[in-house]
Amino acid sequence: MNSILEIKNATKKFGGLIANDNITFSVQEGEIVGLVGPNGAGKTTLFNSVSGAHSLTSGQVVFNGEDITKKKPYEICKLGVGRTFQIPQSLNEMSVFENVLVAALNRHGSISVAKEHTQKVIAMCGLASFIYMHAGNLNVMQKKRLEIARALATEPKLLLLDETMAGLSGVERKEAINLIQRIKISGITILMIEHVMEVVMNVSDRVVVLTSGRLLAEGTPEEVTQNQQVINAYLGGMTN
Amino acid sequence: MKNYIEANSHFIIKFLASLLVAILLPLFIKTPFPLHVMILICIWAIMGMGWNFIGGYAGQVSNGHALFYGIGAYACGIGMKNFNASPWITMWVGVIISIGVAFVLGAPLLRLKGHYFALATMAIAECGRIIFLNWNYVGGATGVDFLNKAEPGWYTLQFTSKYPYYYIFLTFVVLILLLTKGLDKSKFGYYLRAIKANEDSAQSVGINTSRYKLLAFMLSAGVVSLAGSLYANYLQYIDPSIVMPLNVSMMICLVTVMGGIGTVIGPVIGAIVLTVISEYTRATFSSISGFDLFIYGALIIIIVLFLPNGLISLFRRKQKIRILTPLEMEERMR
Repeated sequence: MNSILEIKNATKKFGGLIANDNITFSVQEGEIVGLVGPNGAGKTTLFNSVSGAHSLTSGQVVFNGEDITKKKPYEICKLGVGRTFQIPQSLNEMSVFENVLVAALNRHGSISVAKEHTQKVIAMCGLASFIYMHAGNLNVMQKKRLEIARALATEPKLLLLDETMAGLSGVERKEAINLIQRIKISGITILMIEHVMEVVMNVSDRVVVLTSGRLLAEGTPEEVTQNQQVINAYLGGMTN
Repeated sequence: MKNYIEANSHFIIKFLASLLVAILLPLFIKTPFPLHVMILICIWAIMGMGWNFIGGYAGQVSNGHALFYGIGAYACGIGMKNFNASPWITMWVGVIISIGVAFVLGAPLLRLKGHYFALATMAIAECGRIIFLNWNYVGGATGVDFLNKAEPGWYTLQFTSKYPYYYIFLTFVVLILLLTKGLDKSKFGYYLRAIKANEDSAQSVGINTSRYKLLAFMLSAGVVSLAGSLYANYLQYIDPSIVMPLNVSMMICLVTVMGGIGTVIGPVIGAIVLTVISEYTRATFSSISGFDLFIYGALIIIIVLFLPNGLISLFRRKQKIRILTPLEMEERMR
């Protein structure tokens, strides 16, 4: 396996605040990597740096052998990185179908081909009964689904999922896990931020733990849960 | 093609019916004033549709489109007066200049968001007006009078009767309406709507937002410039206070917003209603100065209060929140 995403010495400063401090890890093709950490650990900041919403203060992001550190969000999307937002950013005045269609146009120039692709993605994400609804009228769970659908419709090689499980009930969570596994089977690599430990432990091949901007641990879910430092960071024990 | 006609049969029928009315109506008009109103409707419809690309579809509210209106008008005026060039050519020169100006101005201006963009465009248009006001080559404050220089005819686009003007302008309205209809459900149209809805989100699904905004700005500048050229040829006299004042910029927004922002037919409806109200209140209440504007304002407030989505919502069934049943889903997915 070769790495699809390499983050090298990523540092991001907002004025005096160091949100990401010298983070290095990589994501292999075809795996699901969970990115966990307490609130304020810098997970979303790292996502924004990868997807191009802002650029790193120093360090490098390499996607598929190409340096994307200074690239704009739409260029990164064109290269094959799809992302969802922690707070769903759906196009509220447009219908669900149009929301996904706009994303599908990323790879398909013609409207009719894009429409076919849109229908497939919508069916996969279980949104088929809502296609005529305005995205603004959806509930939180449906909006998060729509976020995933929009990211998928751009036909990414790597999918960045930012807390797509937060606020979901047990049944909804099972459906979402199911969806993530289907996405993996279709050959898309996933890097996901997740607070719900049940999900992280079940679906992730590897877990990366961040705390106050630093990389704390990296490994399989079992390794990470037995790591003393991780337990301390989460449960507030003594750190040395 | 067949699919397209089926999907748009509603639009095609309405379009042909209203086109027929628009063509036949002048034949029953014997006095010049109603025809003058109809000509103005055509001009405002073109302007509204032009502004609609950037203000309606892309959601970037520009208050400076009088600048492009003026450029279009002056291109024809100066072309006729100084070079004796046919407006049929100079109107396209005006369009090219406007698109060029929009390209140069758009790159920095479109970085601004919301109110700041509206204010900046307004300031730029005012600068343009003051430049034309003090520019001797284009006649300064006295303007350009190009009536005497030309003989009436197709070459000079000057006619003694109002009928040819009406039909020429109507042709342009139809062409631009069809252009809007074509772009409405195209990649370009969807991308502009996505930018209007949420720019960050649009970027994240691969849309080069600054490029598409700039394209929309240039397109709308070109169309508005065309309206300016046509108006100049109808009036045969232009000066900066006629073609470049702030209220022209405002009227363009008003026409589109009243009619239905970001819709194909909205600006045309807005142009019809607003022009009729404004011209007829002026004619009716000419004895009491200012009363026509009072009535005009009151009517606008009423329209905005009861139809916040524009006059087009009168013709549209309200879209319900609709969830498909499994059967309907299957039908659609087939």
